[in-house]
Amino acid sequence: MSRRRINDAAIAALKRQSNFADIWRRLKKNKLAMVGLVIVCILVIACVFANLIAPYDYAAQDYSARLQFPSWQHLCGTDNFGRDIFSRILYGGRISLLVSLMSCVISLVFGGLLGIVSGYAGGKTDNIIMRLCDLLMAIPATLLAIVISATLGGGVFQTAIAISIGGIAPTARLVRATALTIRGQQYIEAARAAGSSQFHIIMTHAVPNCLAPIIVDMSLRIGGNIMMISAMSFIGLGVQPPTPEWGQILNSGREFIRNFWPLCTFPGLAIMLTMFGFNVLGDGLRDALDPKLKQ
Amino acid sequence: MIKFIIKRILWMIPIFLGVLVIVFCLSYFMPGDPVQDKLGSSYTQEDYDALAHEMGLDRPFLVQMGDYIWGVVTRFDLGNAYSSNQTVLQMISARVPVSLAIGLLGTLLVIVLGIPIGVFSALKQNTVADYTITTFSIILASLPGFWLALMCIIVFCLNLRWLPASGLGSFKAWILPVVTNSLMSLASVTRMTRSSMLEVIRQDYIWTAKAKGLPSGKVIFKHALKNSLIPVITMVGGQLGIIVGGSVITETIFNIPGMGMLMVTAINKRDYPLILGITVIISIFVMVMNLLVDIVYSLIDPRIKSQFKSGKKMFIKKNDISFPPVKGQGGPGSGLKEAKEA
Amino acid sequence: MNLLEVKDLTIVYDTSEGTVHAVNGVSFEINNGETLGIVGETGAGKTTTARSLMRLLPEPQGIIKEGSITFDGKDVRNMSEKELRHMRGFDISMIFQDPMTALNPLLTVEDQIAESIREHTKLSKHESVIEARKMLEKVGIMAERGSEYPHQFSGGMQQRVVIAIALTCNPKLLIADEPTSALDVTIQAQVLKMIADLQQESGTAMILITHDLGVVAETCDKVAIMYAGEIVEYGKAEDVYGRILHPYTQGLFDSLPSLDKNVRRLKPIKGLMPDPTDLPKGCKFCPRCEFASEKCKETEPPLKELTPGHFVRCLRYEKESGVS
Repeated sequence: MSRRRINDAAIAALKRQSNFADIWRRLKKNKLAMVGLVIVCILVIACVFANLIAPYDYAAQDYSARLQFPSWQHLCGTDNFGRDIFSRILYGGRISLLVSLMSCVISLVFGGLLGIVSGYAGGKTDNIIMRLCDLLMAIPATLLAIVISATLGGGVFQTAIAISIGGIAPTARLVRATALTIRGQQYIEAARAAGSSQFHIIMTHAVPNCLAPIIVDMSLRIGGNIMMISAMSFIGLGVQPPTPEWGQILNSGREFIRNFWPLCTFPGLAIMLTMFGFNVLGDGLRDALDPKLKQ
Repeated sequence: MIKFIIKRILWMIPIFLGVLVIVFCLSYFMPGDPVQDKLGSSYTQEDYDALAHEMGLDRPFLVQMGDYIWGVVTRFDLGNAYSSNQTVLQMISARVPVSLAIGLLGTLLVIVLGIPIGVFSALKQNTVADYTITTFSIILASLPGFWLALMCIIVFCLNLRWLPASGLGSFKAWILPVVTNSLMSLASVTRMTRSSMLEVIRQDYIWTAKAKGLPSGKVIFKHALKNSLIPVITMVGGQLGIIVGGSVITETIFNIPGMGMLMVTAINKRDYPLILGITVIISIFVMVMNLLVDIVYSLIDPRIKSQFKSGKKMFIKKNDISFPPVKGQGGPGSGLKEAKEA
Repeated sequence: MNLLEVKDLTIVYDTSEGTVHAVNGVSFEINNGETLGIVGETGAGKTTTARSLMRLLPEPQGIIKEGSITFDGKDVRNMSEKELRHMRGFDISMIFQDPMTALNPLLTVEDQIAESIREHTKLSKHESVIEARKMLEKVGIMAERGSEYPHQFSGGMQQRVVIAIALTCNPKLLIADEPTSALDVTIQAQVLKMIADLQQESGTAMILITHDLGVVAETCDKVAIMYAGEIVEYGKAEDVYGRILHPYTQGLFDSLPSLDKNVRRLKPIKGLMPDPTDLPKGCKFCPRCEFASEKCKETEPPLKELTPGHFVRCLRYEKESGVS
């Protein structure tokens, strides 16, 4: 009986901590965060349904209409092969979002695992993992991504991996720090006293409580990764043509920068809007999740 | 203090070796065959073997790695470039000052502008000036440097003709590369300083300082500023890597003969020793800058030093200690908590 | 003349979620060397009252709406920034609740004490540090430890440093805001005794904010019981302890564990304090009061002087003849 009751108490404590309705209420009050959420939603919908929304096929070339300035026919103009830039940006967004999301998930899985083990095991294991993180963080993330990408070659999956490596160490740090603060908290003690197994404690108590800071970090990381993907394809690494990608469209526009501005303006605008959306949403989430504001 | 610095420097040695191992492994598994690249299309097997032997590529992986690391550590020998007859060090050394200058100037800009603007914004909380700064910094923090660079070229170089679009010939030519490369970091640091400052001026010790009868200038500069800089310093350390990494792209756009542009050329020519060498040099630069950040950090925060003194956790670094995420806004709602507690 | 006179003090907090009525018409006075205990639950407005005496309310939310604060014949509400600075730390000083957060982690403790001395005297930096070290010895900390940082001290030691900061300029009035509630029970008495001794020695008047009636009985000349931003009972300690008038005061006493009475269970006060953004119309305590009648819900009871110097805010004593 006592075991049941202590577990119930622990679960109740958890529920109180992650009251999603409460978080949502606070998030709704933050106008900027809602703007971010709207931008992100529009973006995701536009990219997922690119094939329905895009007015043209992203690869359809029309040599009679090359380098057209924006008009009602071509909202963002056409590129040097007469392809509709707006359609290419929509399809390019698919790739950017997909790669960014994939790399986030990879960072999260490996970083999260390392962080939880590190924070929960403590001692030597902790020290070794943290020193490995130091090592990974000694090389600037962009540089690391560039070198790995050069090793792995172009392609969607390769790019995702190249970018994710730099994200593993910071994620591990974050998760470890969260796990450490949680480890000492009373409901974990309660669960332990009730005789729950170590694995059970980690899965049911530590993981849900790590979520808040990680959600924030992820939403900020998705934006940052999109920029890094674009930066890499901008210098000819990462996703290879003919697959459209924002940075790569930008790069192709550099050639025509003197006379034709749309090609290197609109893709960048898309990158900026995306990053803005995710950054603002991430900040809003952080404020909404901040326990210090809870009363 | 000196003990702290020595320990911190000693700690850089294994990190540096680790970086060498990682980077070497990566370059070893890069696709393509440098020997074949060098020989061209027609060659015999003997030619191939001879050149492979000459380049030392016929040895086992571990031997090659050991040899490379030994060379770097003892003679600072980064090997020979595949794509030219020079050594890697020769090729890089001419370009280091340029990249270093862009990186350092950018960092300087971030510190000299970002922190004061952030403090100003926090002190003027909820005024027009604060809203303007906050809005600008949110937008700028989402502005990728390479796109900003392109836009600036269109506006300032091609249309207004104020600034040159490439090279580093004159003082004017430095403006765009340095600014576009660091503006995003500048905006992030401004925001961080603002929110950190707002967080700190709500702390109890600020009330203690006010209750002593100190003038507000002293309360802000002696008590609030130093405390609010702690998370900012950590962030500046992180931004260093971003600024340096970003310079690879900025240099390509502005045609600046720095390490970044060399890196792109090296990747296109599959010149692995060169890629390796540049990565190593940049990592050293970032590590040294981080060392400086840590020293500044320990000068400001006495708690860091005593953590080192306690010996048991010798390698606990500032990054291991988690800082609570700094709240973005200390807006009107923040008073409520105090009000209800009161 | 009284050292401090507070009349009809009303303080509100303007927040995004409404106006918080933190303090509603509070009046009291303190003579030189006297000790006043302010007792009440968390959220009763004790800290807000205390902070307003030094005009240290969070800006711009905290506003003194009505009433007067007269310290040493001067009107605190109309003081200039310069006069306020001169008063803070020199005439009135404050001990905060939590010593862990009340000290700046980046400055040595002697520096934090000397800072106050330098602000209010013409001593040089060196002389002020010597003074600071003397002060440290007074609160029972070795002078050499002055060059250490707050994190190197235990909680009790940190509170001693906070006390040293507060008393270093020999203020006329010391405000101690729950000075021991963040400390271990074992050192609470020690710290309290030290404050009382130092206060006696320097003849400083003191406002002691606490929720511990036992502490008040030991140290205070006067008591004010606060509930929902109002003083519900006020008088000399011996009067109040001799004849408890207000049901809330009675409730506070009943919820104290006692050694000489053989009670099996403590009797807590039922219910919670009213929401300060939405206070009840009549008596603020009436929803929790066992004697409440219909009239209590409608009429706000006045503060009535029942016997000389002993005030109560309760309709039960409406018909008794008080002091007029």
